[in-house]
Amino acid sequence: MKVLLISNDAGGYAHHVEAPENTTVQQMFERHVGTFHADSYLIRVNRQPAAADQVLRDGDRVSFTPLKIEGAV
Amino acid sequence: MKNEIKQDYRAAVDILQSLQGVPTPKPMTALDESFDQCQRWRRRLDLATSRNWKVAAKDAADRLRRALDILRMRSLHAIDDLTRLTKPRLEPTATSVYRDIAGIRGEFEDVTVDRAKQRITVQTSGISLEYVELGSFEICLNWKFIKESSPYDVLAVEPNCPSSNDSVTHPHVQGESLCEGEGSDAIRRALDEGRIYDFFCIVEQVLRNYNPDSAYVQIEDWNGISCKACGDNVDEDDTVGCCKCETELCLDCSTCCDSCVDRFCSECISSCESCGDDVCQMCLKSCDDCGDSFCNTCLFEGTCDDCITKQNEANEEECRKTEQAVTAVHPIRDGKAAVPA
Repeated sequence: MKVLLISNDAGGYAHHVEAPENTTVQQMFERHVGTFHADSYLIRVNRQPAAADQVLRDGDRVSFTPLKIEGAV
Repeated sequence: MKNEIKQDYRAAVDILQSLQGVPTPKPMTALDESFDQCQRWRRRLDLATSRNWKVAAKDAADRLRRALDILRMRSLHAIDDLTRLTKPRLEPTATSVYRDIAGIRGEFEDVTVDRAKQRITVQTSGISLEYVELGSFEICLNWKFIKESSPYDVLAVEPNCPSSNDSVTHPHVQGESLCEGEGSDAIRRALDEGRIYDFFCIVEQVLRNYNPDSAYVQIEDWNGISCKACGDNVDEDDTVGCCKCETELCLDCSTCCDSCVDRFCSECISSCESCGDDVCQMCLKSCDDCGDSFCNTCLFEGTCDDCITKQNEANEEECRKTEQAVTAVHPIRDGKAAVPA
C-alpha cells in the first residue's frame, strides 16, 4: 500500500512511501523517522488524532509534527 | 454547514491558484543593487585613502561595512530561494487543500475563512510558558501572499506584554511577526506544498515552546518591572515609585531623602549646599539671603550658616567702625580736651 508520509521535523518533508499491509503508525515512524516517542509528536492520520497502534490503510496521510519546535529572534 | 463546505472548497481553489505556477527564481535586482553599492563605497574608500582624507576614509569604511552586511544577508536569501527551487515537492490539489481546511476546523477552536480578504485565521487555545500566561494567539494566513517569505501574522488576542517592551507579545513574537527558529524550513516547505494544515500545526507548536537562548524578552523578565533609570527588569516588590514624578525605579536607582525619608528619582532629588545630604526638592529650602538650597537642619530662621557668619562678621565690622568713629569725634563734639592729672 502507499501512504503519504509527512514529517514536520527540521526541514520538513512529504512524500509517498510504500508500506506493508497492517503497518501501524509507530512502525511507520520507526521505519522512516527514528526512535518513536509518542509524547514528543503530534500524530495525525488523515488530519485526525491517531494512536501509535493505529493500522494504516492505503492512501492514508500520516503526519508527525514535533511538539518541541523552538522559535528564535 | 453546506454553505461552509462550499465556501471552504472555494477557498481551497483560491489557495491552489495562489500556489500555482512553477516557482521561478526571484529577480536578483536587490542583490545586484547591493553589489553595486559595495563597489561604489570601495572606490570611495580607495580614493579617500590614497589622498589621505582620514574622515572621508572612515566614513567610506563604515558605509562599505554596512553595504557588505546587506550584501551578505541578501546573498543568503538568494541561496535559500534557489535551494527551494531544486527540492522535489508535493503537488497540492483542490481536494487536498480543502481537506486541510476541514482538518484545521477540527484542530483549532476558532477558524475563520475570509475569501474576500483571502485569509484563513485560526485561534489557538491559551498558551502558557514557564507559568506565564500569554493567552490565545491568532495565526492569520494571507494566502494571496503564500509564495512570499512571510505570508502570515501572529496576533495575541489579549496581549500580555512584558513591561519592558509592549511590541512583544511572546518571547518569539514581535509586532505580528513570529521568529520561526527551528520551524522555519518546515513552515516554508508546508506552505510551498499547500499543506496549510501542517503550516498551522507547526506555527502553533513554535508558539507553545520557549527558547531562552534566543528570545526578544526572557520569560522570567515578563512580569517584572523595568527600571526607568537602568533598564533592569526587577520584581514588582523590589521597585519603588519616585514620590514626586512616580517614575518606577529599582532600589539601587532611587535615593532616599535624608529629611522626609521618601524615595525619589535622580531628577527629583537634590543635595543640601551645606552638609551635602540627599534632600528632595520639597524638603529643600532657600536661604533668605543667598538663595541657595539647604536642608532644614542647615537653616536657622531661614538663613544658612554661611550667611549668618557673614552677617555676624558684618555686624562686628560695623560695630568696630562705629566705635572707632565715636572715639575719633568725641573730643571735638564735646569741646573738651583731656587734662593731665
